[in-house]
Amino acid sequence: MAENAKTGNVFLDTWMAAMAPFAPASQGLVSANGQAPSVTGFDRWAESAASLAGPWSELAQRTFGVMTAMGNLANAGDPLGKALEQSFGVLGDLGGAGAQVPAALAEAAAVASRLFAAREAYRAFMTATWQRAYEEVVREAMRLTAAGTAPATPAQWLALSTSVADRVFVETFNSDGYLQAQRRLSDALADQRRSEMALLGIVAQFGHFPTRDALDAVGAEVSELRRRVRRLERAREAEVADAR
Amino acid sequence: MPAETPFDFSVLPDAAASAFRDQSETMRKMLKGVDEMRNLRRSDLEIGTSPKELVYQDGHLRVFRYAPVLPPERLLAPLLIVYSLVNRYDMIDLQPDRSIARRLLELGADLYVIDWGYPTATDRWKTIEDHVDAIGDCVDVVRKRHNVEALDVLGICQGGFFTLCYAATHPERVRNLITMIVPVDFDRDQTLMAKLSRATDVDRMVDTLGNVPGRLIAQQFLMRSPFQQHIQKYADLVDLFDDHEGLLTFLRMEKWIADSPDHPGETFRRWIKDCYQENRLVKGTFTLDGRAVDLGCIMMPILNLYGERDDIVEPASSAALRSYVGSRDFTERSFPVGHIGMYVSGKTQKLLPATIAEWLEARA
Repeated sequence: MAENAKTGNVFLDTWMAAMAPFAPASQGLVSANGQAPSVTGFDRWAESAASLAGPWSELAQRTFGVMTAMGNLANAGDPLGKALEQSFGVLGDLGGAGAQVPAALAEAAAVASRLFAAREAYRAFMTATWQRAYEEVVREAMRLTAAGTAPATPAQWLALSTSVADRVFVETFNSDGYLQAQRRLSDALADQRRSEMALLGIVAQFGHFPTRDALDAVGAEVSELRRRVRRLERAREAEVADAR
Repeated sequence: MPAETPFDFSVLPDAAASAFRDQSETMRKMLKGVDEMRNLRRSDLEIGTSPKELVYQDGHLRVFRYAPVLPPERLLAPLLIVYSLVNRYDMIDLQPDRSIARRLLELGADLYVIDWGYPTATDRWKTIEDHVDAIGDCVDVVRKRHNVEALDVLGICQGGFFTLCYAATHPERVRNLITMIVPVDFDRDQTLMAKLSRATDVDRMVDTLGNVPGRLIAQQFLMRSPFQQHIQKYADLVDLFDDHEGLLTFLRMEKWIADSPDHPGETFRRWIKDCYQENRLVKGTFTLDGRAVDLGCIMMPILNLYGERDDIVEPASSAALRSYVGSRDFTERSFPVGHIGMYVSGKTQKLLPATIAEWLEARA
């Protein structure tokens, strides 16, 4: 079947669109001689695997859009009733925030895709580091054995292993590649958390609960007020001291 | 019951006998360890046990005065210690034989310490300005108690950075300034901590998390030697089961390491951006409430202390202080230890407090 062929079945077409970039990247994941995947190969695979979510989120957005439009049509003849429903909205009243849900879900799907890619890239980086550490430990053990100074006890073997592994891992942690990978993971996790909070914010609106942003704004204001009170107290103390 | 007959290893080949002997010895230590652990009391692991009284409290912040050891007529002028927001101040008083606080008290110090407490979600908005102002409040409290115009202040690590800011903006309130393992010129810091800090999108992190979890910061410290910190030191623990005091010291250190408060978000944001990423203090572009902090305004005597093997704050970063302050009475001392070794190493227990006490005495 041609890459861009459509069957007319929206779910099947979405599935094929998602798989299109994934399949060739997966083929390159394991090299021909069966060796472990390279970091870049793994990263490429993770990126394409993440793209799986894209078409589905688009489909979800379209589906919710249609549902919202149908809801609007049904309420067109009764604008006040709709406005009252939305203003007093009860839990489960999806219509009240229907417009926000598809965008939030689409954003959540995109963010989840990026997190998946970042997580897999990070794991690939760490897997490669473990492999290198293992090789280094074996190399060092062979060198010591050849020199007749191999560790004699389990404790000595452990000490050798941890010291060599520490060297390899700390080298990795200090590398630009690792710093970028952890940054990417940290950023993707932060974005994921924020998209979850956005969804929870929509839920909070239904129940008239304060959202995290609203609480943050209150917290900032209270902090500023405390600051001003403290400044006034200091100024008053200074005046009293001067008066003496 | 008849006494058990010890196993005769001589019946085995040499290598096997040696392995069995090691195994047997390890097993003996582990059994002893189980016994040791079972008999431990909560009080055995208490840290920061030097007697002290609460003299001031504002929210989570508390100021303690350590009970002086010498009679009043032999006491030095009061000294206020400003610790970092990372981890807890009780590292200065881990246990009686590893306590720079106790050694200072024995040398005549009249010691006060700021405990920043454990920030909660409401502290997310606390800024560096708030912390520097809080130092001012604490200085005033101690000044009033002793009826003095200016105070001797010892700032440690990040607390030292805040203290430098305070001393630069309120030089009339600081008589003598001691800085210990304080990062100053962040561009000279090539430690893993510094690299991670530079590679962080701190806006994203703080906007998302609010306060930055202490466990995240603690893990970054452990990354300096991950296998040593996560595996080797616990394997070595077996040997400590024969050393009761060594075991207690180890467990107290573990307790201190695990006691890692969250870092107030807004303070963390500026700490990373303005310091690690933009190195503003030495460039003269670091501001408090919009006003630049000028290290050149620090004219009082300074004693700068740092560890030669510090891999959390690079020695060069601390040593750079001399180039930027206005003081002509500048003394620098380094010690052959790392960051934590400055507090607890046997090498520094006598030398470091004595250095501080003698320096203060000469400027009394």
